[in-house]
Amino acid sequence: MLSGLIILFAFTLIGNTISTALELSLPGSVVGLLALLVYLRLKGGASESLSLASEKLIGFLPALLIPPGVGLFFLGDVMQGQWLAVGLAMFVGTLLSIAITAWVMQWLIKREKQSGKGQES
Amino acid sequence: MANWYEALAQQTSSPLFFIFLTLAGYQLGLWVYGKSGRKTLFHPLIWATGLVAVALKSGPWSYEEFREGTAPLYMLLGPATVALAVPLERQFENIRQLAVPILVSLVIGGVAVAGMGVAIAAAAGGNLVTLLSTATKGVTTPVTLGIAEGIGSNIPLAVAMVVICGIYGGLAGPPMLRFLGITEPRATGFALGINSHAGGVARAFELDIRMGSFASLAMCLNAVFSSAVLPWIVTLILDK
Repeated sequence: MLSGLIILFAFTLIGNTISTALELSLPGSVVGLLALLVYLRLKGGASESLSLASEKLIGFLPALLIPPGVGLFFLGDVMQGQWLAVGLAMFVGTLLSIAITAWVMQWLIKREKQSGKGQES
Repeated sequence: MANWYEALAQQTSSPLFFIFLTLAGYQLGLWVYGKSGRKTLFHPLIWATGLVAVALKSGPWSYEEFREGTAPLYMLLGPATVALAVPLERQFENIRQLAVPILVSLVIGGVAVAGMGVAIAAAAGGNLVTLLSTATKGVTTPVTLGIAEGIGSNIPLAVAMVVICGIYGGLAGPPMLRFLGITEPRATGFALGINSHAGGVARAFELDIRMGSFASLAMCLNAVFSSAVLPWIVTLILDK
């Protein structure tokens, strides 16, 4: 697992370097993800150590979101008179756009299947 | 004589303590979640976030102190995002076969998540800063930080909205989609990734590996799409 973690940290640093040097609006972690994807395609798959490290780290993602999530309880007067707008946008808007996205995607996948191109995996 | 109280008080201002607080809150959240029979309403993130907030408010700590102390956890968000490349790579062939649905859903979903949010906030009387902070709610936190600085959002508000939409969409999305008759796990995953980024991805991986890999694919694509398109649209509208 150690060598897998080293690869993940290395690609994060590579991504950050590329993003900073080229002044991309894309953050380093996303650049690193894309770079690792290309590397794995070329190499023909992930090593056991890398698979294990990534699985553990992904399983840990929810815990990493706790500190910024706690910020909600400390927003203070930025929210004066804005609670309704923010609340509706989040709680109603998110459900609407999830429904739209999923519906479009399912419809397109079914169409693809019917035309014989897509395959059930 | 040994001064236990002072020695203990010293510990409670170290980063180690804040990380301990976060992890212990998460563990407690996991325990509650298990006891509840894994009910959505008892998801560890909801309870852990609430517990940590209550602990901070009732103790002598400020939120800034807590954020600084937990910076090492936040730093792990980078490698954890990069790690998503591994399950993505495993699904690469399935993804390539669906290139057209993926690209079309990305554009429609990416526009819908920002557009619906801003439109609803505007109709409910949101001011300009609120609307700008709403526009990035479908983009994963590190990318939001980059875009938000550029367009003039309130950054804590923008980040809080991202995280809440992530947690909320991940929890409320799948049961709602089942209710609407959407049974295709790749469609559910993709919608979660576009609208609820890391929260949606984490939830999708809990439910189904294919759902998870399509969620992480959608999150990455939307990060690229939104950081290219959003600043441009905002300038276009505000200049008029």
